[in-house]
Amino acid sequence: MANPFNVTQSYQDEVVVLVVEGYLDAHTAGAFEDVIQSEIDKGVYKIIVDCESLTYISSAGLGVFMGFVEDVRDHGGDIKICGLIPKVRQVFELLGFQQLYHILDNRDDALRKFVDEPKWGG
Amino acid sequence: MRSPLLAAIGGIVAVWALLYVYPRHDPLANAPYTLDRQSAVAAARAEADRQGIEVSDWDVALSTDERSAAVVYASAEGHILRADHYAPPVKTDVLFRAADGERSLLVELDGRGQLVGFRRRQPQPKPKEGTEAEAPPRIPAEVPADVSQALARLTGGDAAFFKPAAPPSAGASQPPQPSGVNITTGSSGATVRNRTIQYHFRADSLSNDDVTLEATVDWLDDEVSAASLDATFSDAYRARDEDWITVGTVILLLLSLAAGLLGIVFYIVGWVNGEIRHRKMLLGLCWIFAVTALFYFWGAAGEAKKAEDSPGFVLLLEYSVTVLFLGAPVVMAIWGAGFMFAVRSAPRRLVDLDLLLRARILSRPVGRAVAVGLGAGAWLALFPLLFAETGLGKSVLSLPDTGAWTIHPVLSSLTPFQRQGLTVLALLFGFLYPMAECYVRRPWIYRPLAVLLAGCGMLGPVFDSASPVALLAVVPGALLIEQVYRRAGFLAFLTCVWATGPLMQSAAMLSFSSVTLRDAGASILWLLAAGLAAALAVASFGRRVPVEDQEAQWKRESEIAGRLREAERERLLSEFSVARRAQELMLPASAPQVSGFEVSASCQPASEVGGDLYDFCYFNGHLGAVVADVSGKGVPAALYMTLTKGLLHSVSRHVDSPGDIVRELNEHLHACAGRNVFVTLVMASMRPDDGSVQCVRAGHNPILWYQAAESKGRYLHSSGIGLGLAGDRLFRRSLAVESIHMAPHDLLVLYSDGITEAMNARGDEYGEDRLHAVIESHAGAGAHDVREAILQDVRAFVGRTPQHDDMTLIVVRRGSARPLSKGAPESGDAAVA
Repeated sequence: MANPFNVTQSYQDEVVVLVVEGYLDAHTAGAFEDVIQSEIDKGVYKIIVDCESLTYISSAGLGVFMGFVEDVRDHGGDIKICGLIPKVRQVFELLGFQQLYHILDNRDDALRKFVDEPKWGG
Repeated sequence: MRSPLLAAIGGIVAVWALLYVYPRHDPLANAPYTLDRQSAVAAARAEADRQGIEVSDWDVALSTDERSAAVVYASAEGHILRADHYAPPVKTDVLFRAADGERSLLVELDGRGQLVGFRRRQPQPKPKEGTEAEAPPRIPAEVPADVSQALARLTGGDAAFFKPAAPPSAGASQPPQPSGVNITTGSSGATVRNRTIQYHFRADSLSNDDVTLEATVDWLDDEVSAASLDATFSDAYRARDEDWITVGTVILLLLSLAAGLLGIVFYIVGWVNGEIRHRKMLLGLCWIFAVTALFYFWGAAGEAKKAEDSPGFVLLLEYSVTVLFLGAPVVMAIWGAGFMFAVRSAPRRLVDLDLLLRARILSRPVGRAVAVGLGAGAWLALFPLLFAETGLGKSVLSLPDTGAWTIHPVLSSLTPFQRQGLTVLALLFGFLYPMAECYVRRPWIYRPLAVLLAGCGMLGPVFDSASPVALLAVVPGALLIEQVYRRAGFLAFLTCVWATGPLMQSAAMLSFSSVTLRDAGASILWLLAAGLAAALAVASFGRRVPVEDQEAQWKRESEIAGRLREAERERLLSEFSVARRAQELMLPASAPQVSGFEVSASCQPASEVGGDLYDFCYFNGHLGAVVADVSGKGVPAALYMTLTKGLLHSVSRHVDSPGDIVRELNEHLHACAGRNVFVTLVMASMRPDDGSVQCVRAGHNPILWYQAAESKGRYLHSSGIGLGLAGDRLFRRSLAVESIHMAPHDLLVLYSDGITEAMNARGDEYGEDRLHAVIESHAGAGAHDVREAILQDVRAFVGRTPQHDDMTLIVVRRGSARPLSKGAPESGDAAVA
C-alpha cells in the first residue's frame, strides 16, 4: 500500500492554506500538484503550505514547489511554507530552500508575512 | 458431427434401440406397478373407510419407495410366493393428516395397490392428576378377532401360513428400546410396549434362506392401531447386492475438489489480468436461478416435501440460499476461469452457449448445437445398455432419486439439477480441459486422461452400481462426449449429457405397467422429439450468426489483454535498462590518482534506477571529485545526469575554480532543465601534494572531513542551494566555498543520500552518526578499505530491506609522501551491479 498523503484547503481572506499530511514523494506529488493547480486556476495566488503533519518529503515533492513558485510570483503572489518538523526542515535547508522561500514557524506568522512582505523580493 | 440432421437421424435410431433394449436390463421394469396417484389415494381412502376414519378433509401426502434389495430379489430366481406383495420392489405410502396434526393415518400399498400395512395415530388421553400410572395391560390368552382380521386383510388367503412367533430378540431390524418403556413378552409371541400390545407373526413355510416374511399387528385401547408386513433379507443376501463404490466415485470427488480450488485461483488471476468476463458469469447465475425457480414452483421437488408443510416459495428460498449462493458462485467462478482458457485456445466452442445465455435462442448455431446434442445424447444413453447386452458385466440400472413417482414425473425427469454427473462433466470440460489445452502442449497426455475421467463421471448418471468391468462400458460414451465437445462445442456437450437423463427415465417409465407412468414416459419422448424438431428448424431457418466474428472478437480481446501485460512488462524493463545503461556509461571506469591523495569511489544502484552520479574532472591542475544527485528517478533522471556530466566536463575546461564551475552549472541547468528538476552536488577540488582542498556544497549532503590527528570528523555544512533552482544572482549570493587543509591520513567522504537515508526493516535511517562511527573505526585504513567498510556497514544495517536510492561514495585519503598506500588497488571501482 502506498504511503498516505492528504491535502486540505482552508481560506483566509485572499490566502489559501494547504495543510499537507503524511508522505510527499514521487507517488503522491501528483495529488499535491493537482491541488495547487486548482487554486491557481481559481485565481488564488497567495498560498501557504502548512507542513505540521508532513512527515516526509522527497526530491519529487520539493520539485512540486519549484514547479509552481515562479508562476505564482509572476502573478503577485507567493508560496510560503510553515510548520516544518525538524526532520523535514533539514531536507529543505540542505537544498537551500530558506534562500528561495519564506519559511515560517507557524501559520499565523505565515499569514502575517503575507501582509508584511507579500511579494518575494530578490 | 457437423450436420445436425445426421445427428438427429442417428439419435432417433438410438432411441428406438434404447426402448427395445432397456426393459431387458432393468429389473424394476418387470416389477408389477400399476398404480398412479389417483388410484393409490383412492385405495388408501377405501381402507380409511373400512376402518371408519373420516379423512375427506385431511391433508394427503404421497411417496413412493423403490427398495433395491427387493428389486433384485424379485427378478432373481428362488423368490417366494407372491414376492411382489410380501417384498414389494415398489412401495407407496399414502399419509392422511388432520389439520390439527394430532391425528393421522398412514396406508402402505404394494405395486398393485394391495394393502401391505397401515398405522393410525390418535391423541393419547392424558392421565388424570393424582392417579397412579396405569399398570401395563395384560396380554389376553387368545389373539383378539380384530387382530386376526387385520392379518387376513394384509395377507389375503395366506393368513394361515402366518403363525404367532416371538419377535427376533436381537435382530438387526429391532430398534433400540427407549428407556422407560415397559416390555414384557408372552408365550404367544406378543410384546407389550407401554400401553400397546404388539402381536408378531412369521410365515416360516413361505420364507427361505434369503428372506424371512413377518407381520406385526398393534393392539391399543381395544382396537387395532397398526399392522404391517415385513420382509427381512438376510445379511448374506444383502451383502451380495451391495453397491460397489467405484474407484470412479473417489476419483471424481478428488477431481472436483482439485478443480474447485484451481478454478477459484485462476478466476482471481484472470480477474487481476482483466481477462474474466464477469457479466457472462452473472448471466449464467441468473439462468440457473430462473430454471430452478421454474422447476420448484411447478412442484418437481416432490410430494414428500409437501408433507412437511413448507410452501413452495419457502422451499425455493431454502434451495437458493444453500445451493445457489454457496455452490453456484463457486461453480460460476470455475466456469469463468474455464471460459478464459477456452477463449485463448478454442473460442468457437463457446459461441453457442454464449448466444443461449444472451437469450438469442433462435440463432442457427444454437439450433445446431441442441440438435447435435440431443442426437448424441441418445447414443450416450444407449452405449451402456449395448454393453449390458453383451453380458460382459453386471449392471443395475435405476432411476435417480426423485425418479418417476413424484407428482410430476415429466418435470422431474427434465430437471438437470438432480444429476451430479452433469456437474462433474461440465467442470471437466468447462474448466480442466480448456486449461489443459492452454498449458499442456501435448494433446496425447490430456485427451486420454479426459476421456478416462469423463468415463468415471458417467458412472454416476448412467449406472447406479457397477463392477469394474463396466468401466469399459463407459469408454465409448466418454469418447463420444469428448468428440462432441471438441467438434460441436460446449452447448452441444451440455445438451448431450443432460439428455441421457430424460431418455433413460422415459425408457424406464415406458417399461412399467402403470398407465400413468407409461403416459409420462411417452410425454417425455414427445417433448424431446419436439425439441429436436425445433432445434432442426432453428438450425435451418434461424438467424445467421457469424460465429467466426464472435470467435475472432474474443480472441482479440484475450490477446489484447495478454499483449497489454506483455507490453507493460517490456516497457518497464526497457525503461529500466535504458536508465541503467546510461548510468553505466556515465560512471568513470577508474578513479584517477593524484599525487599525495588516494581516491576510491563506487556507486551501488538501487532497484529503481536513481539519478546519482560521481565523476572526476581536471581544472587548473586540480583534481575535482564530484558526487551529484538528480531529482527524480528512471529515464528522466538518467537524462539529466547525462546533461550534468557533460556540462561539468565542458565547463571545467575553461573555468578554474570550483565556485565558478558550480555557478556555470547552475546557470545552464536553470535555463534548460524543467522547472521542477534540480541537481544537488558536492565537489572537493584537490591540489596535488599540497593537502589543500576546496569544498563546495550545492544543496547536497555535506562532505565529511575526518581529521586523523584529532580522531574526529566534521561535516562541512557550507552554504549553497541546489543547482537549477534559482538564477545566478541568488545562487552566487548563497554559495560559500570552504577551504580546508588535509593533514596526512585525513579522510574526506563525499556521499549521496542513498547512504545516510538507507533504511532497515524497522524504518530507522542509517544516518550521519553511524557514518561517522564507521569511519572513526577504520581511520587508519586506505581509501579503498574505508570505502568498503562503509558499504559493508550500510549493508549490514539495512539487511534485506530493499533500497530505493543509489548509494554513491567517494573516499579521499591524504597519504604520506608516497602517492599510493600499500595494498590499495590502483583504480577505484565503478561498481555497477
